[in-house]
Amino acid sequence: MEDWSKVVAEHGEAVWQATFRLLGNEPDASDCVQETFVAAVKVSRHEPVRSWPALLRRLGTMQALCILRQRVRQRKHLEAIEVPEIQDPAPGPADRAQAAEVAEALRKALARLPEQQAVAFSLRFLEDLSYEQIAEALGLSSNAVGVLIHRARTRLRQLMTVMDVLESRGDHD
Amino acid sequence: MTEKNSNHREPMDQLIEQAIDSIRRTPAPPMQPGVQAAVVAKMRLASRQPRLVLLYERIRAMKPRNKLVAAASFLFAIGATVALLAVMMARPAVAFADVKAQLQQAKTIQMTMSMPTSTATVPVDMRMKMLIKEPGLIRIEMDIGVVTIIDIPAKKMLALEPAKKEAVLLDVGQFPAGGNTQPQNMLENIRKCLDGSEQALGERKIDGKSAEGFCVKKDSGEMEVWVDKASGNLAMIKITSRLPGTPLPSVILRDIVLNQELPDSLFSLKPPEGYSLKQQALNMSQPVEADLVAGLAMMASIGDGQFPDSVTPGPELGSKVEQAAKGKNEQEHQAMTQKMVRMILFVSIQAKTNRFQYAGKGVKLGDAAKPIAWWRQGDGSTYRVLFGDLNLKDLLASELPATATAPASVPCSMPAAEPGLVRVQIIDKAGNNMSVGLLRPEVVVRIEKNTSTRPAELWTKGMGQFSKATSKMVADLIIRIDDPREQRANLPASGPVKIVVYDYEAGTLASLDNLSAGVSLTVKPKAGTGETANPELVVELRDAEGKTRDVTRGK
Repeated sequence: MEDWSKVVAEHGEAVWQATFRLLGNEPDASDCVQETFVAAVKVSRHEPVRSWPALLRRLGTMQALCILRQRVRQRKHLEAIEVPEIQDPAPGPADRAQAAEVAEALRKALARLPEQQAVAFSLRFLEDLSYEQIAEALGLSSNAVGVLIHRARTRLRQLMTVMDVLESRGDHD
Repeated sequence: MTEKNSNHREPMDQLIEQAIDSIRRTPAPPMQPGVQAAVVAKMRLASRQPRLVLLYERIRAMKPRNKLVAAASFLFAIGATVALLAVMMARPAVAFADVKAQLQQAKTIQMTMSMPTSTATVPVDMRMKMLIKEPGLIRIEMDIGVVTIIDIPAKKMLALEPAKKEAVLLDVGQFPAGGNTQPQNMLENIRKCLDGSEQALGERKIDGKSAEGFCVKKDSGEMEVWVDKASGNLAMIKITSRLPGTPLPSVILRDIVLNQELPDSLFSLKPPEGYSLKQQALNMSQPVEADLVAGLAMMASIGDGQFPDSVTPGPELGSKVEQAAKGKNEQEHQAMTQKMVRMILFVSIQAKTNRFQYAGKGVKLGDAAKPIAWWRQGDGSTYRVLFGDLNLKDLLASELPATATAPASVPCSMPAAEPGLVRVQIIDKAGNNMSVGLLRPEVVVRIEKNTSTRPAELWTKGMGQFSKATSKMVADLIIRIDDPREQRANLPASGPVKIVVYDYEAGTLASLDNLSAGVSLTVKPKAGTGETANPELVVELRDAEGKTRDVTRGK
């Protein structure tokens, strides 16, 4: 029987930090962390867990992206998302606001990507995993991960261009 | 790449880098100890729960009596969902006049219901055919093979399981009065729903035919009605609820046929020849608050001292009771089922009539400080509130706990059916009926020869979850289903098989008989429609020789 308190004590904070960064608010991060660990328990009942950090990163990212997609479907809720300020000693309020804005734009764009692309992109650029680590987490070859990330980036460019144009026209998401 | 795009590429890359940097530097507060404790508690609970089994596996494994209760639970859930929409009264729209008239004069109605729902974590869906004949006769044919017949005037329900030739006859005594959740009101509720409509949705293809859509929207949810342009008949009704605690985010009614002759034999309470029959009584009289208290006490006792996540009707509660009743004698088993049913009845009626709210998720039995459920009393100025120690108090409306807003409370594990999502149903030679739902194109279904002599494994994987069961059937085929969202299934079958592919909104895309090893199907957006909000889906068959052809809608 696994010591769940120990698993949470060792990895909980890392999962929390990662999901909070992606989601940008505490209630969603709290739900996400709980769902992530529960999902991890279920995975562990079917197969031995070789690496808790790797499993939790994958599940946490998938769950957070799932919540982001849910937000996109529920546009009213999307408008109410709190966007935390970016702490930086140098930038002024305008820079902070812009940084928060582009971060939110990326979150929205990630929510519109196919799931695997979004997960691979997030693990690579937000979690700093190597192609090999992502390949292992997703059960793919490194080459396939490379293709996914390339496609994700191409699609993100398109999505953010569209969002940029809409913003400049004053349209809502 | 166009000049315009190439001009955007560099600044967009910079913007993406800036956004990545910004997200990475988003300051996160430390995880609160309360969250950590909740995580550990949930993990412990999850680790003690029985292994996840697919919804249809669970229902298929149930005893006939519980299958009947599961079906009845669904019925009440649907009744509640439909009833929620019945309050949406707006200006009658001229375009609805014909449809309304059709329904108002209907003496029989048959339709197919799709209800995306979920187990604890895996999205699945249920599909059933429902026949209603006035006065008060209902027949539900679930696609897992269970048939339930409800005779309201006779106050009896019959469950049939053709595969085992078993029948259970329930003497209900009486159906509860009040509220619109009663099954006998279902046809009336649907009629009422059609009384109001405002927004035109334009045209789209339903089952390959042009249909015109209308939508009624309120805070509590919305209903889309699609009318066949050529015939003026109902093509599809989609009901989406946004009320907290609604058991089914969406119900889709299709294949709606009015006034077709439905012989009385379809509603007979006499089991077919050769069936074993078990009879029992089930008290479905008007439920009282003591029924809620007793039901919640039982659910907490079988849930390691915690109240259930939800008390809304559906097979989840039934499955929990089923698991807990293992090893108990028949009398105890019946008593547990009875408690669950009466709790569901109370919730169904109070949810409609008195704004019932449930907040017991995560609360421990005995916690006197936490309100777990409340509902309106009398003129609405006071509420009856049930606390975690199962004591009841009357509170003013202003003293109620803040309720969650509905849209955000629908968890990811219960997605509503979206346009373009697909369901694949497989019926094999032995009569096994399996389905995998909420698949995202491109979906690939491959039929392979099973060369293994060991018992075949039936498994599904989706949203990071995995479910596995060992099949006892003789399987000479393995059906493999994959979608790009990494939803996968491995279904053993006895060939040849029939495969039916549905788009939740556009209807049956393909129905193919006698498929054997070497054949594959791909469900994908039609060229040129993939990037649109409602992509038109096509089904392509690749035969054993590698030749492909479009088989969409019988092509």
